[in-house]
Amino acid sequence: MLLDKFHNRYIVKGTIVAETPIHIGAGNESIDPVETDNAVIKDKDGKPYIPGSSLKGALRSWLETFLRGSGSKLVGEKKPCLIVDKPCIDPSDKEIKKWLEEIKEKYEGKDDADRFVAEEIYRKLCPICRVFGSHYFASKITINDCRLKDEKTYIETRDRVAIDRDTGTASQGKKYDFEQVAAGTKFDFYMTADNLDEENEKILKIIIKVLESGNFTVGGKTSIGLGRIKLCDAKVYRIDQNSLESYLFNGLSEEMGWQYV
Amino acid sequence: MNVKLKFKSPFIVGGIKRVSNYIETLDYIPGNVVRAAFARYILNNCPCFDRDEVVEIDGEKHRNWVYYRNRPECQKCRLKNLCLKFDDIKFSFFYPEGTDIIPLTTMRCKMRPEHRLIDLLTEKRECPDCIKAGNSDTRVEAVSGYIKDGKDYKVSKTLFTRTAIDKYTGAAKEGMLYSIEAVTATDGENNIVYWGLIKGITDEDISAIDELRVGKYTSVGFGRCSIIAAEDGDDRCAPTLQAVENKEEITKKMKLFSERYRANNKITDDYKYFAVKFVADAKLGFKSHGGNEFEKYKNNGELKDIWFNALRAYKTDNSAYEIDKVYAEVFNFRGYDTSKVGDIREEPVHMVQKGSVIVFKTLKPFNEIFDDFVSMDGFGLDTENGFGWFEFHFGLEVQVND
Repeated sequence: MLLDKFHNRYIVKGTIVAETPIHIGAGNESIDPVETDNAVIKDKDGKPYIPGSSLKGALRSWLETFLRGSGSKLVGEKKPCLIVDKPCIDPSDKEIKKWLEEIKEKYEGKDDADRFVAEEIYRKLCPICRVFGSHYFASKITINDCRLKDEKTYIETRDRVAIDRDTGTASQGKKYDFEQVAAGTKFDFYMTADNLDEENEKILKIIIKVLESGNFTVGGKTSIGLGRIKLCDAKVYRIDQNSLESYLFNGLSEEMGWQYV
Repeated sequence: MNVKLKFKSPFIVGGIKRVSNYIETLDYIPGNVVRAAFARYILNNCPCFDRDEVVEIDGEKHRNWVYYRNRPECQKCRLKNLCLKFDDIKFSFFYPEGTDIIPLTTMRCKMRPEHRLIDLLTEKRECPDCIKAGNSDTRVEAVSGYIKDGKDYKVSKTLFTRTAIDKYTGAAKEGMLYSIEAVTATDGENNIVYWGLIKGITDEDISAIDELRVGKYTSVGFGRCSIIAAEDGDDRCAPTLQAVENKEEITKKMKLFSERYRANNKITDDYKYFAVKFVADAKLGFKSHGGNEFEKYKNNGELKDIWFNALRAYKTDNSAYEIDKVYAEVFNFRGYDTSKVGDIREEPVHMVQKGSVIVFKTLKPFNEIFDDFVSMDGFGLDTENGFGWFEFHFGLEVQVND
């Protein structure tokens, strides 16, 4: 399903709860000696948040792994690609470039040539790229930054040290610290998905279920137990062409609720 | 009257698409662009305006045309006066507040840019400060652009990169990435103000306009500005067209310039010499007369004739004047008239760049020269939109009491 006209929109709202502390790094190093070595990302008010890009990236990566394995039968024959390694439509691949030129030539001059080209591209995309987007197709889903739900939260600082393998004691000059957002912190979750077909819908269901399971991790230092999050109080709405007008003028209503289980 | 355009957002004017989809704005605003902004404002507020209406003007069909429709609604319209006299209003080019256009006869020290500028017409082609200091290298080089308070002035610009989106894939459309460079510094304290002259307009007409949209991409917020009348003290306005009341002072300066020019060029004849500087681009008619004028070599005399013919649009006794020297940059320009129905391209023209200087000679007295030239709207075509406007040029820093 292409993006040129409205077919449907799914809206997922809920609360993300940190089951374990979360560390999503700010990505910059302070020159202030009293500041932490690895701070967590914060908004302009100094409140930590989970960037939509972190969550979307983690979900895509997990789905690629899951659907390439035993989960592939859920979304048909086509094997999902690994977007950062070998995308299904790779702009640096000579054969792909040639194929793109060929399909453009094939439809050149025809009415609605852009649509025919887009259909060919969509057919070639893997199930994940169709939902999460690729170089040649925009993402059907959007995930907002998950802002802090409460007024305040705890940001803990943890001291760490590397151990010298020979002596078994602290390695010289290897002490560091990092910040983590305390377990139990609540964040708002808001996700939309546009123009999903049956196959895309299954992926959306998997996303919601894995988030609800409480076994999904986000951010850094996940191998030492950080970053486990759980989606609570999830409400999913489906707006289609019949309910679009009501949604635009009156907003979401209970009748638009969608059973994803 | 002198007016100011106070910008609230960046603007793009007359952008020419260069290689790699790069659209660069001009750093000045031609009069026709200001006229178009006025026209857009009048039509957007006109209760009788019909977008599909086609008006025939001089045998050409136009849409979006401003004219007084003389309907009952027009009687109460606050823009009635502006609409009635729109054809008679003349717009100058607009430049950044307080700046002067550097004439093309100006040169600067090649080794020490901080040294004072010189004018080739009245001074030797070498740096006087370097001569005074005993420097061995006294070379000078050409300089152009604007000058403000004795220093170079550059208009602040910012690059915006944009792309078109394929409606089917939602991704960037191939080959549709483009960059536009707009004039910025148009917000908050650093509001950039452009000055210009509008003839045939009153304070009441100006106060009836709350906001103009000047230039391109106005539908996405570019070019928003308010228009205000310059205050009494703001008499220095670019382009500063010499007023008739300053005749005595100007003729004194002309006389002084003539003496200096003659001395600098070792001229011994009886002619009086004076120079004009274009304060706007000029559309001149360099037309060929039976074959290509520039196919064969032209000597100085023939080239001066070509220039003289191109300038012939002025309404004065041509035979009394001769061209002595021309310092000019000429470029080819082909614009668009978006009001036209059908082919909106305009005829290509030779455009003489602002800052170009032409030195004339004549046997007429200076007060007659002044009268002849001040009565002219400008040189060449489209003078009602500021093209071809000029002022007398006296070299740099010429004071009457020198």
